[in-house]
Amino acid sequence: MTSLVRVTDLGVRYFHKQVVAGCSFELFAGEIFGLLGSNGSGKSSILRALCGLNHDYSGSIRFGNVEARYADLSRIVGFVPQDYSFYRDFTVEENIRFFAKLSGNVPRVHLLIEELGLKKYAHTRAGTLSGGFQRLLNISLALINSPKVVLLDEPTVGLDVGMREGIWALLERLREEGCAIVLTTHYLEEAEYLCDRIALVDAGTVHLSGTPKELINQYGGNTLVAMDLSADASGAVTAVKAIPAVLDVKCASNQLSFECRNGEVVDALSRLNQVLSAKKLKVIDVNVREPSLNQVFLNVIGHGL
Amino acid sequence: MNWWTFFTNEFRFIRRQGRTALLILFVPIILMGTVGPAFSKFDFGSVPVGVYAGGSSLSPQLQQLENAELYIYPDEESLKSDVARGAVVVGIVYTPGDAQLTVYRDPLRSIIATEIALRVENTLTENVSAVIRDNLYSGWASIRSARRTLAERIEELPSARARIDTNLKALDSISADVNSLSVTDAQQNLEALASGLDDAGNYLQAFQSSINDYRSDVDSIALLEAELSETRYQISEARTNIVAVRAKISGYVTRVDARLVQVNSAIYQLDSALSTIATLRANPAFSGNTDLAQVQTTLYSARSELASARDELIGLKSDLQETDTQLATYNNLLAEKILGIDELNVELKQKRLTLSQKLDSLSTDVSNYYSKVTSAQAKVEPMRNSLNRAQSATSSVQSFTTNAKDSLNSLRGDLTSADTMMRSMQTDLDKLLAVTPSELIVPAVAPQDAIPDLTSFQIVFPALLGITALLTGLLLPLIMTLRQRSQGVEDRLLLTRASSASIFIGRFLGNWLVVFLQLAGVLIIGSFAFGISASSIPGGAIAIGAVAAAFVALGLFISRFVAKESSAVLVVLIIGIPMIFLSGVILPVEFLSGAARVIGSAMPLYHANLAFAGVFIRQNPLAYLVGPLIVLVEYAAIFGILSIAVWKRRIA
Repeated sequence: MTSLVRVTDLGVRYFHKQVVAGCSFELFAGEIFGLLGSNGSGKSSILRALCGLNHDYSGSIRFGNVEARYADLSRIVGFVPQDYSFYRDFTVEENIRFFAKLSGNVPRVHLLIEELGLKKYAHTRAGTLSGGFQRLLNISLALINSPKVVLLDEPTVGLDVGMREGIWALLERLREEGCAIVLTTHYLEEAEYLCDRIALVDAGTVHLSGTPKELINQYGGNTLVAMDLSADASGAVTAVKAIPAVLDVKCASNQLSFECRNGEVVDALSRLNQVLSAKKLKVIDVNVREPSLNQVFLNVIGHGL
Repeated sequence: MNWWTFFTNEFRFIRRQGRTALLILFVPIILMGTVGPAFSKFDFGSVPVGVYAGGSSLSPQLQQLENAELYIYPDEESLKSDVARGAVVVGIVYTPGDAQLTVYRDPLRSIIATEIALRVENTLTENVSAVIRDNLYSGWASIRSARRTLAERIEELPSARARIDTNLKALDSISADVNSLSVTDAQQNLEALASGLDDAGNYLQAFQSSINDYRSDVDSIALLEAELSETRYQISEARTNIVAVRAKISGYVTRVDARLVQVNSAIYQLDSALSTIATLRANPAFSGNTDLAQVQTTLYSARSELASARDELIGLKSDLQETDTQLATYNNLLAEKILGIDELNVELKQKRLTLSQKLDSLSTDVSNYYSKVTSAQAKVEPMRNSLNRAQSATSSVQSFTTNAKDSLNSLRGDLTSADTMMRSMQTDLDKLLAVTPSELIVPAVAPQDAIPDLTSFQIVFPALLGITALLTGLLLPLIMTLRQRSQGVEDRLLLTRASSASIFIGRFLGNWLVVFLQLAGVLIIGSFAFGISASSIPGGAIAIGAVAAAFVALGLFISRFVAKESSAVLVVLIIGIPMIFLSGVILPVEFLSGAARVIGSAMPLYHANLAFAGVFIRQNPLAYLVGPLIVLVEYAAIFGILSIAVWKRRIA
């Protein structure tokens, strides 16, 4: 994969507050890179430094061999801020045409409108569009220059599933076209679904990065299993504890719960079934909760998103 | 051409803001509809004025106070209280005869109160001031006149001194002359004159005697005249004789002529006879030739004698005629002589008469001279007496000149003293004149509007326009920019290649155009509805353009520091209210303290007010507005540059 952006030891200060510090990662063409972090963790600050809205950073952001603050990022980077950033009282076409004029890409106006499915609303005032189409318009303005790097700050917040999936499809298409996409989101399943790599950001620092699966496997913790049994299970606790992958068994009357090491859940449940049969206990209901990115976040950062 | 894109975009953005834009743009126009009529008439007469007369009746002058709505108060405290609570605009404490007039002013309406106080003061002091002023001016004029007269007199002193010197010299000369006079000589001369007069009397008597002798000689000329008359008579007789002789001569000539005819006839006959004889002799047949020859000879001799006689006759006739001619000549000469005698006689007569007259006249003159000499002789004695008196007078004159010289020398000394004194007076008068009456008296205040006939609205209009420009010029770009920022557009603009300058210029032009159109609308309404002069519209339009530029640029600059649209109005108020108070819009900057005045004079609204007042109140030509307009354009440029710099800094 081709490396497009290399961020090394990035630091950002607002007044006297260090909001990003020691942040390093690399972006490659044709990947979606997710930045996961709680509110105020510094995700947006990282994006603003990346897109060139903030030149007052420490460390290095290099686009190829050129430092970001000296590069003409308007032709390389497309930025989709978290809030809408277009004229509410202009029509969709007027908005796109205005920014296209500034970028010298007027011929792309109609193409973009069609590609993003905005043709029907081309002459509708942007402020009157539904949230999803406003998001699409927001994204379309970042794509006017056909950027190689697209930065999206929580692009699907508040959207219904249909619109969200539409945007996902758009991002996947961009990835296929070779764009490097940086995505910040609160939706872990979105990150898990879309992102090729994920970085966990907290207090302005990237704590972890890797593929979602790697992170979950490595930092996701144990699978939680909770069961309702037909009778009091206290007699079976000892036998359950004896199952090698099972940890932290708890029993309250006919309710039994325990943790199970990740990757050994099937084997452990098979052994548990044997133990319960021996004790003539029947399973009325079972709930298995596998580790997630949220768990990863909790485990690594100490609090959830 | 990004700035053009931004300009059209900004203009479109403002247009799309609907109610906000309408509110910002039309509130001033609505204000015009309310404020305009309110200020269209200013009635000074309905201002309540409180008066406390100290228990006396109200001063007659105060009763006549023009247009005042007077309220009489029973005591000073209640008056002061009412002024303090605003029931009356001004309270006047004045008892007729008081030296002082106390005026309580309502601080909220101090300008009107001051104006009324001035009117009261003028009313009360009008006559007194006039008398004092007149007397002072009169006195000052007298001093000035005295100073001028004194100067003239001082200038005359040298000439007076010169005249004294001249008179002294003249006295010296008179004294010398008098000294040189010798009355004794005059007396001797008089005696010589008396002697001469005696001689002259004698001479005149002798001359009179000679004249008498001459008169007898002249009388002898009459005898000569008689002799000439006799001679004339004799000549006349001679002429008569000559005429008689000539008549005889004429008779002789006639007779000679007759004889000559006879002689010539005889000669002719002889010639015929001779011819006949010659013819006969030529004829050979004629026998008597010899006789005939003798006859012929005889005849020839006779003829010769006859011819000789004829010649004598002719000579005689010639002599007679010559004599006659001579006689005629003599006669003529005699006639001329007669004429000459006549003329001579007449001349003699005239000369005799003339001589006689002259002699008479001479005789008369001599008699006169003689009588004069006699008279002169008679005067010699009085003159002699006079000379005796003159001798005594000369002594008196000598004494007088000596005294006069002493007096003149004394006067000369006095003049020197007077010169010194007058110069001292001149210095004193100069000191007096150095203080003019205008320095001694307080001139009566007579407020007059330098530009008459202005309506209240016309006076308020520049302030109204200036405040409108301030509020709209700041608020519109501020709200529009903040609204765009709140819509996230600014961040997106930062990611484009558009330069800070083009963004600023585009936004500036878009907002400027709207503010300009709005102010132009206010101006047109003011012109059509409230009497703003149409001739001031071109200058007003230029001023509006410059003012709008300054405030829009300031608004865009401020927008860099304001985060939220909701803060915009507050920010505009924070900036605008001090500017309104300090820029001379409500109260002139002259009301401010020194530092505040400097600050106020540096504010754009101050220059906007100058420009608008210059156009709409003072009706100045455009050339007079160049100063404030340049300052406003400079403000626009400075705020523009600062905005661009701040924008760039924001990215950095």
